Amino acid sequence: MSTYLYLNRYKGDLIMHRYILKRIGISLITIWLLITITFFLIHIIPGEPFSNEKKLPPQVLDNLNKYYGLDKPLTIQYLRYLGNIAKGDLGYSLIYKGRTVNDIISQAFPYSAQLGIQSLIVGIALGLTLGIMAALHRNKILDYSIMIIAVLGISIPNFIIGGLLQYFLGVKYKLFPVAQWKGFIYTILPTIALGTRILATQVRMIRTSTLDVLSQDYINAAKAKGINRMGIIFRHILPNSILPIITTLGPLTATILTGTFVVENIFAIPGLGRYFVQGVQDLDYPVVMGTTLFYGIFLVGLNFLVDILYFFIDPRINANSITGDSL
Amino acid sequence: MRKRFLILLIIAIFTFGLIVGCNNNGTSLPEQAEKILRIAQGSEPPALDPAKANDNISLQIGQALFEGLYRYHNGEYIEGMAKGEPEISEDGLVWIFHLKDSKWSDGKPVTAHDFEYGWKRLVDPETGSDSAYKMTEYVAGAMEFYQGEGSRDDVGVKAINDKTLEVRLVSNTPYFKEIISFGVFLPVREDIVEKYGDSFATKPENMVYNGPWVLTKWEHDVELEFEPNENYWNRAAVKLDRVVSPIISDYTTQVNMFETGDLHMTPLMGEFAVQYDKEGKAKFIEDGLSISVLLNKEGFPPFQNENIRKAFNLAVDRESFINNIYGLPAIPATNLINQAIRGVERPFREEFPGDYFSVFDPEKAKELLEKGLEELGLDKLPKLELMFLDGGASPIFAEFLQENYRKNLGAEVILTPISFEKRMEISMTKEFSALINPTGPDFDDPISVLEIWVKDHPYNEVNYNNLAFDKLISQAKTTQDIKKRMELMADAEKLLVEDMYIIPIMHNVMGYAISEGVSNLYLTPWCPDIDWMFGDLEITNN
Repeated sequence: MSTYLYLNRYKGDLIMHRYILKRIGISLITIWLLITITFFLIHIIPGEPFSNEKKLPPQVLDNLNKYYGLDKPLTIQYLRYLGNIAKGDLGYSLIYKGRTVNDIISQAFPYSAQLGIQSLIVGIALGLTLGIMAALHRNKILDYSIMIIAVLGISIPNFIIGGLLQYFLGVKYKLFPVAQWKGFIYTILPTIALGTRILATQVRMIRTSTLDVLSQDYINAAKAKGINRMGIIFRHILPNSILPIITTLGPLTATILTGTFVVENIFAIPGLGRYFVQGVQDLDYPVVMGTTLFYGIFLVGLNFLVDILYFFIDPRINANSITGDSL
Repeated sequence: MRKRFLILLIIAIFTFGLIVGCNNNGTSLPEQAEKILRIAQGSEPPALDPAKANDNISLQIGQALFEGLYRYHNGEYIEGMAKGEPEISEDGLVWIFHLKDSKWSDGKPVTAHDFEYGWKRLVDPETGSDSAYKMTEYVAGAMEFYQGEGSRDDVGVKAINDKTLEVRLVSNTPYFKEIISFGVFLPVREDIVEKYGDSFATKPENMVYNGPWVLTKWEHDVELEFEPNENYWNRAAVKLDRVVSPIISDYTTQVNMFETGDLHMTPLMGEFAVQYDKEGKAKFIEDGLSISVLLNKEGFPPFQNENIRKAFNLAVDRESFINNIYGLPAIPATNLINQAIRGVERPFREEFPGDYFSVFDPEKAKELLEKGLEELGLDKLPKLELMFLDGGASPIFAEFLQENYRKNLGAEVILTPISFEKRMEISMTKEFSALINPTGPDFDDPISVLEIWVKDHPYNEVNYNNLAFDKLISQAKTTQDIKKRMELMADAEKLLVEDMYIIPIMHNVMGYAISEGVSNLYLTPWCPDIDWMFGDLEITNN
């Protein structure tokens, strides 16, 4: 290895380190902002956590607020919350007595994550295949059919897809269990329901990016070299048309893995999704804060990972172009 | 190189998916030799700690796991830990309960001290109980202790010895037995609470049980499992071998699971109720909820006139709403107390039918309106604002009312949907003209429906003020003779309905479907609404 190359490499590493440090800093600030904004927003919502179901006498509400520290000024509550987060303590749920938010997340997350990973695999694999197929058969019947599926997949709400799957495949033909999560067979219907959505959003993007790749000179060059069709698809089209997906993969993965209320609710999956929705409805402050924080960290982390991944995958991007620095 | 890696990764993902996909080829349910009842819960029970349970699900499970002095079962108050009837002092202020010989699931005897500890813990401000108010109203010294003014020792609950419990009341409360049948007046073991502290009753192994069942599994958001408590004093009454309660929050999913036989029971709502009813597979019970319309004379001055109020009552075609729009077999109401509340020996409504007006009479309504307007010196009614909770059947009922009043009275009604928070606010400010009010009794006694309408009661939202009514209620609250009490309350109800600040509309029903072969499963209009403790199941061959 020549000295020149070595130095260049070293310079690249330095930029990379600086870039990573900077990104970590920005991520921490983002998460702090997220905590602060969520904290104050959730307290702006009218109502009280204990007055949801029935009218409680005022002295009972006072005592409960005192018991849970909700009688203190909001700023004190906020500072106390920040202090607890620093210790990794997300507090106790106000509704589910004696359960900590840490417990709830650590129990529910694995279910959501499994469902999420399965759906991502199915959705992205099928999305890729169908998207490339559509592009290769542009403006033909196959293309139109796939696009119709994609449009339907996006426009039909999840709970309808889930409900139909449950009714036809579960109740009517008894091929799969209707609900619950007790083994792989139970995961199939929810995976399809959630995967359809992912598939539908990905297909269009892949189709567009594949069309873009198809018009590139290197495809013509490959054809001219006499490489067969499959070879072109796997060596040239697939790796290049996958790039735009990676950008969306960060937020998509974060959203899917941290639970989806509708699908989890229909199939009675004990995931995290319901806590996002139910927590707000019940004004269960610690649960709302905890789940939002968890999602935020996940999202910021994955975005960060995707950026780094890009750096390695796409040769057109180098350290200079990401950081905007020129050394 | 990296691209090749990506391709390999994708292929690997595909293959992995296929392998996993082929691994399981369906599951088959094991042969059912045990009697296992499967009943879904709509959510995770928020609290099994007896002092913190205050919702339908926690209380339903609580009644299976724990037992107080008496319990509500199949329309009656039956003995629990208490032996026979209580001894009541002449002034009705001191109640003495004798306890049975019975044991906790860990073999220790259930004593009056466990009751004293459990009840005092309920109103201890340190406990943070949501349901302390159930006791503070009735038991002497409880309110003071709860508000941090009195001391624990001054709370009127005392174990005289291991088997005798003495309770002192704030005032003569003839229906105190009904009150303490609610699932928070339970014995609690001090040693267990001390041992587990904050994690008491958060896991099956962190509690002991004195009810018919013990909790054997509590997988959060997934499933609960119960097995009979071998130490329960009436073990023979427990017929099932196991009860499994999967947590299914989506209601349609519950119906679907009932269809496939994964559940033995499902609630039926809306379309499902109508459909199951047509097929003859639905059961309906009154759910304790009654719909009425509150008229506020301060918000809408014409309501000061009795004839106008009565016109607004007679102009509502209740039967048409129930049969043509609502779809469920609800009961058109000409009174305020529903069919489920007990009277002297039979349901109150059987003993006092309460047909206080003819259910629909548009001509008479028109006549009364004109008479009323004349008395007030008005040409026509101003616009009336009708508020309703935005959810459930209230919006369609509001539209129906609007149409009825337009057609039968020529009255113009503006509809205003309100949120739950706004509804709470109105119960404080009392700023409204007319309001659709779905409400139900808190416990099984007509007093629960009636007492809120006495002058200056915080929930008296129409500022109803009738001395004769107040007098009847205060008499009813202190009379020990049950027949006399019921008569007093029937009179009070009649007065209240005839003054017509509250227009009774209908007593609602709730639909259920229950599998064949399941017996002794009771649905009650109270919280908790399902009672499966002493249920039974025929084992069928399919």
